[in-house]
Amino acid sequence: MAQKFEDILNSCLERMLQGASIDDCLEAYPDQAIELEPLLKTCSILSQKSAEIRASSELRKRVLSHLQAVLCAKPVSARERFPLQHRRWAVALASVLVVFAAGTGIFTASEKAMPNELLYPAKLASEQIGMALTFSDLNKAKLHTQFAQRRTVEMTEMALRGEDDAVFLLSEKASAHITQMKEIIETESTRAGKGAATPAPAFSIPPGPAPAESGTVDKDNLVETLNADYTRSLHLLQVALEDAPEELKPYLERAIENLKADYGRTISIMSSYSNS
Amino acid sequence: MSIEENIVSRAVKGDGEAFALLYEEYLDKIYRYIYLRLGNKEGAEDLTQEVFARALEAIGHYKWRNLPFASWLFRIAHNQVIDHFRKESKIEKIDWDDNIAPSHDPGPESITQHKLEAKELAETVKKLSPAQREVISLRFGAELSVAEAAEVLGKNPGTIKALQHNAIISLRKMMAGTD
Repeated sequence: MAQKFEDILNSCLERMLQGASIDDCLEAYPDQAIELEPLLKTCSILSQKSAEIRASSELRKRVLSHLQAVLCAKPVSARERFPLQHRRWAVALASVLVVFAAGTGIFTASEKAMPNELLYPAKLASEQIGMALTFSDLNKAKLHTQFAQRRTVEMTEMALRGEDDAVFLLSEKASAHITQMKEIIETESTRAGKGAATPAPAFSIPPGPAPAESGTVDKDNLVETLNADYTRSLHLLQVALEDAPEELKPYLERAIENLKADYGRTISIMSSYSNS
Repeated sequence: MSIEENIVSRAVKGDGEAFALLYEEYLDKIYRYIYLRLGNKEGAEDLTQEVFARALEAIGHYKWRNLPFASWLFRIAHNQVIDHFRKESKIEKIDWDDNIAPSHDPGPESITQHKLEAKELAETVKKLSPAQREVISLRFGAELSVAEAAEVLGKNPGTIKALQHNAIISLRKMMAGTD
């Protein structure tokens, strides 16, 4: 009898953890309701109060920093550095990037999230942590390339949804990733003795089209900005392609193709809006 | 293959971003479990950090078929807590046959309005027997199922359910202030 009650209590607890109310559970077990009710109320309080115990932001930073230190402490020989030899972590990371780039990767729920969606912050957080846990400069460059492509995919989706401000911000973020990728390759190229990498010309970027008064992005100005971002990003990718080690070139070539397609589509969508 | 299995298999192969997703998923749960076991913030933070460092070092050897990932990770956390008590010379003897139900039931008074802060919760849980505290921390802190908790502790699910039942009765008494 006692054993049976333990099972019932546990069954109710599982149902409550899945979102059932205490009343739902009591209805399911009317014969045990009197005995169950106070215990389920205790479980409810326990569950609520436990959920309030969370790691602080300081602890998050501290753990992350410690994980980086753990990885750094692993012995790495000089030849394992950029450009060709990698530790197991980095090699595997590259293989995952190939899967993503090929568009056949299995994305988690947060990896599919779009801006303004609940899981989007988790997606950005996992990117930041992934970047922090990546040590090889080559793999950092790959990640920046991958994240830039994610931003342009999101940008196109936001254009379809008519979210102009998001389109603008995502284009900016994609550009920032490509700039960082280019800087890494430039630095590594110089370090590897190739001399100074091909300099990127200065671009005249139109001013941001989000006036404080209106709080919205002017569509004509946005198309202009997208064109400028696209030209600049494409150029940086092409320059990086010349300086990049062979291993990275397929990623950059694919990124260039994706960039052309995503910006082409987004600009077309935005232009059709602004012309209508 | 479930989403988590896919992420874990990527992390096992060395994918930093996959490990980051697991870290994001489990950080609060690991911290919460340890906090409830130790009852203090500083110690819980130190051990949480150590658990993830151990997990990062060991994940290359993890095999899903032997143990669900959550059970594997919380086994690391459980061992860290045991080591902590050992180092602190607080010998925590866990009696797994600690299944005797409390003799007095406090009656049907409502405790839903009872104010219980997180620290108070930890203090209250600390008053349970070590075995009951372990089970409550795994079930409510770590949010593990009975089967997963049984895997972590190397016990059968029936033992976990019995400990859980008695722990909830004890907690109810304590939270109602009648103990």
